[in-house]
Amino acid sequence: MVNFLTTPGKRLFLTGDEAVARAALEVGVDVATGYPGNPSTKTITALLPLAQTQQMTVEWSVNEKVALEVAAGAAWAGKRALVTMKMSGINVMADSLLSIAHSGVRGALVIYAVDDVGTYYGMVEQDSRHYARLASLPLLMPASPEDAYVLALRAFQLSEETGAPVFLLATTSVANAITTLKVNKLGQRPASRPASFPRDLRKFTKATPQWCLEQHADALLRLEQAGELCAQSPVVNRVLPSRTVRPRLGVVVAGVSFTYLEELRARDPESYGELAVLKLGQVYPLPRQLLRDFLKGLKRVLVLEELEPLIETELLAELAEMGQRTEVLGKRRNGLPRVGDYTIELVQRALDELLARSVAKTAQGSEQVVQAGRVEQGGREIKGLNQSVQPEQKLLPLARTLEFCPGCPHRMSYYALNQAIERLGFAQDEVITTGDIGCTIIGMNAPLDTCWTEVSMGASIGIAQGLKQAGIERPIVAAMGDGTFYHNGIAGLLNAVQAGVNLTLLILDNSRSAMTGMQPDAGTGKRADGEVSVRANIAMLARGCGVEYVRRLDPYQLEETIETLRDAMQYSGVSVVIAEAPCTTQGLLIQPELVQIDQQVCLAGRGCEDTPCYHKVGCPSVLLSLDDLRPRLSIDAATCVSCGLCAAACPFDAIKPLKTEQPAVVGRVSTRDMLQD
Amino acid sequence: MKASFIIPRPILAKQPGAGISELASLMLACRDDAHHHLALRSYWTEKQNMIEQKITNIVVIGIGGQGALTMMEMLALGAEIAEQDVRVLSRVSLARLGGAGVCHVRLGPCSSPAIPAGEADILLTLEMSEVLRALPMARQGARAFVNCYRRLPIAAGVAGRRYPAREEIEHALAERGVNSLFVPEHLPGEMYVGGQDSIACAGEGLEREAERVNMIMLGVLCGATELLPRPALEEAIALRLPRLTAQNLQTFAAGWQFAKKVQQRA
Repeated sequence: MVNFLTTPGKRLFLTGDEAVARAALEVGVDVATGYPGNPSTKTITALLPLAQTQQMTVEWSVNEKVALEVAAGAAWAGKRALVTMKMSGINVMADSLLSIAHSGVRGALVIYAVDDVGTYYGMVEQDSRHYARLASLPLLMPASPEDAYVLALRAFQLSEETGAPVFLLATTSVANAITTLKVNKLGQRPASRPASFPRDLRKFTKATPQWCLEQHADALLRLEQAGELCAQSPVVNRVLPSRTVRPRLGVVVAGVSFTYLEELRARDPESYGELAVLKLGQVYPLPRQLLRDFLKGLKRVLVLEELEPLIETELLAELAEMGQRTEVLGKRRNGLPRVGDYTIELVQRALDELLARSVAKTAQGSEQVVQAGRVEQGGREIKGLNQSVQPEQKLLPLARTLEFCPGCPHRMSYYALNQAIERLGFAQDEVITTGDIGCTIIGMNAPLDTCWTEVSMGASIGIAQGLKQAGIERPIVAAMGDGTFYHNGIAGLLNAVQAGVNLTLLILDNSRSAMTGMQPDAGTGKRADGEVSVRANIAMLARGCGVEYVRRLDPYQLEETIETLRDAMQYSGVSVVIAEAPCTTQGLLIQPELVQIDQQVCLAGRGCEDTPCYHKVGCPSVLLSLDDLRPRLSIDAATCVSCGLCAAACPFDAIKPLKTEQPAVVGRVSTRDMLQD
Repeated sequence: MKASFIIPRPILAKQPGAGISELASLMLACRDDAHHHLALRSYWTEKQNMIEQKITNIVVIGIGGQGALTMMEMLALGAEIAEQDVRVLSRVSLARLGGAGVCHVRLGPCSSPAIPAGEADILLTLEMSEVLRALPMARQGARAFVNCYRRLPIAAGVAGRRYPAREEIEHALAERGVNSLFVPEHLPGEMYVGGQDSIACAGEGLEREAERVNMIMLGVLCGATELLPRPALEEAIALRLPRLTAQNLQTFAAGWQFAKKVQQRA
């Protein structure tokens, strides 16, 4: 794939994530760390291939807390460092974050995180701006990839100038947008200071209460300094002109909503041009003086920010202090949502409400509120968006849930687990399997229906222990992937062993972080930059935690897997089963010959009513005919990797290896396509 | 009384790439009224220019593994090569099979990365029933290019849900005032220079598939709309997919040919 980051020229075509990476390159970042998690993955992915030529260290760390600590260590030694993660990762690193924030840094430390507002990827929707407040750290928030680039440059500068780690918080609609942006020349790598670290206990330790108080005060001082430096910068905060010399209505906006506002103003300057606009890049601390100047003379102001009303609340406090009676529209009184992302339609409705109130008041001299929507203003129609009512769509799209890839080893393991539960004499819904983060959670979907819960990285085992200690007598299985185990699962295992509960930990080990794009983990044996590394050994880790029952197996050996799991679930104490097999997205055949359904033998709809090859296996390569009246099944030769599970599931031996050489089947998309991304 | 400006027709030459933000930040410095007026005028002229240029909104939709994301990137790169403004948004991870993915591609000088509801001009669909997911985004008179590749989600199949018939989908599109062109999953051999067999065995260790749906549909879009010049898209394909360029270009050309044949017949 082409490396877009270093293409010569002044214009680059980048995502928000990559724009941050480019800025990091330009400032000469020394150490960049991160943990994969969409929508923030692309920053480290973009930097990795350039690690050698740009003389920087780039790594996927074992979890976000470690990633932060590594970056902070470098910044303590006077270097420039970047750490990236999705929002969930901030929760993981929070303990170290507050401590490092109070110590400050000697070089530069930028924390780039992405809130998945609108949860396009799953996981908790959270407003991570709260962390800036909690840790007393300055926080910048971009509205677009262009903005992300500019603010990232500023963030490094700010961190170096003040010694405060700086938060750069994007959202999915910024991090995943791609556009052309103007960049500076990537010249010689800026000189970085030689590494040095003075022994300064007052700054870098916490065991003396007085020093902790001093550090807290220092952090607040740095925060204030950073706030002042930012407030003066026209690239961070912008006041947009109004068509009116002295506007009475204003909008304070942060994040992607600004791009919606910009577009609406461009489409309909007649309506929206009269608004004064303050676009905040600096969200914490707010530029108070700038805000006060902006608010002066405004009768009514709308705050546009996604999720929590943070800016809105601070703005109200500011107005109260100023003793100014300006009406504030937003979430607190006008019901703008605190859940999900804003859209251009929503922003338009909010603007119309802002304008409509003003019209209603001048027309009737009262505070009558006109409902949001299309509003006629003195015979002038708002030419905003096309909001004509469409007829209701009767035919709806099919619901699509995530499915395991053809031949996925996880499917084999869960299928075997379901069988093992049955052999122990339980119905499948009588035995709880706690699930975990990553591809392995797809086991919750039909037809496997194995997993019951999903909490956070490595949580499945702690939850399983709690369920057990609550008195659930039937066996309980915790299932997680290898990356999840290294990330935060080991502590849970250690805890369960100490507690002495009976439970089974099933580790689905494909030696990669598959879901986020096949990043290597501690068990890969190869680092992301291509260098060979030491392979972690899960079995030895489990034994080291005190587990006596540890079994490694190949999940494609179905019978052995079923029997081992059955045995493990009956074991008294913590049992660990490690199913080892690589991810199949490469599309490589597992058995040398492809299989096909022999239509002469297949009894689908003629005696075989369950069709377990389809209804129990749930493989995308087992195709149910969409045109025939009687169920007709076939194997899609272009995507099948010949794992043999459908053949094992067939009660009539109708699925057999193809002896003849099969001509190439064209037109289907192989799972290999995924690797091209 | 509030003072307002009557905006004259554009008086400044178009300055592609002149950032609104620069002008906006200039505003911070312009405190006195005379400057304010001048800066205001050029700012709104810029805005006016922006509106006069047409924006084309394209929704690309497919299911995980089909290469919708790759296609969206090639479309955007093609626009970039043709020196058109382009803004793209893909908020859905397609890394897994089976999930649905909606990508937004906007050609022209827009600010928002997401296409406003009811404003998509083109729906480009790699899986037949998925066009229904994109339908609420279409404007009246939009065009849909729909590949007839069908995949019943396992969860739906297991629950006994039926895959909608093509006629039903066509009807749903027509009801919304969307003009559709359905493209077969496999193009007839005569669309290919040298016949379909010429790409069947692609070599390079990737012999099992070469006729990619995303390439066909990119070709169909280019042939049917001429929204972007063909050479620009071909350059984008070569840049983005260096491994199987020749085969992909052939498939792209076949899609282009298909669209042209349909146009001739009409």
